[in-house]
Amino acid sequence: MKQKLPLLLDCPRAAEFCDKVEYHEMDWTGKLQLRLHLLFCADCRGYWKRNRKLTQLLQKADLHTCTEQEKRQWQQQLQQAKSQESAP
Amino acid sequence: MGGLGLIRNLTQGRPCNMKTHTIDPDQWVDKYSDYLFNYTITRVRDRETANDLVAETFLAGLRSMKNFKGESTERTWLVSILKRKIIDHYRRINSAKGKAEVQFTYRDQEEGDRLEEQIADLSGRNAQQLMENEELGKAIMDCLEQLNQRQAAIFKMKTLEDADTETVCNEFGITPSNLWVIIHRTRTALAKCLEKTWF
Repeated sequence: MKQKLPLLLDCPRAAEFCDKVEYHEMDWTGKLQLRLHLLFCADCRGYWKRNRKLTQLLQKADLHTCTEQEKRQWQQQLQQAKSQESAP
Repeated sequence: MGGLGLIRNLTQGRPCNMKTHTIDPDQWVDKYSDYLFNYTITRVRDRETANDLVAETFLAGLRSMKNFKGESTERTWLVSILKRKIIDHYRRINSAKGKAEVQFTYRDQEEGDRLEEQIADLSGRNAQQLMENEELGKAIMDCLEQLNQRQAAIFKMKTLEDADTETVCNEFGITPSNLWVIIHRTRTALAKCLEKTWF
């Protein structure tokens, strides 16, 4: 993704657009710009493919994470338990 | 390993090359809660129960900290506690019901096979797929653990919790352009980390 192409998008911007597409946060004009860029840029096409594959893997793994609120709650419980243990 | 560590390992009956791990409960929530939560929810399939079991695991870990010998990593040790908690959970449920539950999935007899064969085949495939997905999930979590904690937390919130950009930015006090830079770096690092086995 080093070369610059005489298109609307440069490579770093195209990479950002690739990411946004994976999160469904790209409008149709952005998608069109990206398509055009990908037609001429093999490096970005490579990134786009890897990125697509990564999204598929993440979906396949079906990971569940806890919320920040849940984490804060557990941290609080741990701190409380620790202070109770250290109390005489 | 220094001379003292070597002598300590030999006197405690450990092999010479075994690394001794340390324990720090203050880091548990940040470092392991996502891994433990994912591990639990794939087994109990209920968010509230998973939440309770993880909380119980942390507290039990704190109480039995003195039993940690440093032979395994903190995470492995916490997972072993969690496993017992999950087994206890199922024991409680089954003793409340009085018997174990067996689940069947009925479907149309497309190929005219015997129902028993269909069930056996289905469960076999599902089990294999589940195991593969679990391996993949573990690999992803391992890769994320190698990253900066804040970066990983931002990525998880945006990708795995599917939170919108504004919510993530507010939670972590960053701008949308910061967020996309972090997302890009994390995705690149994650792809590189998973490349050998999963791409």
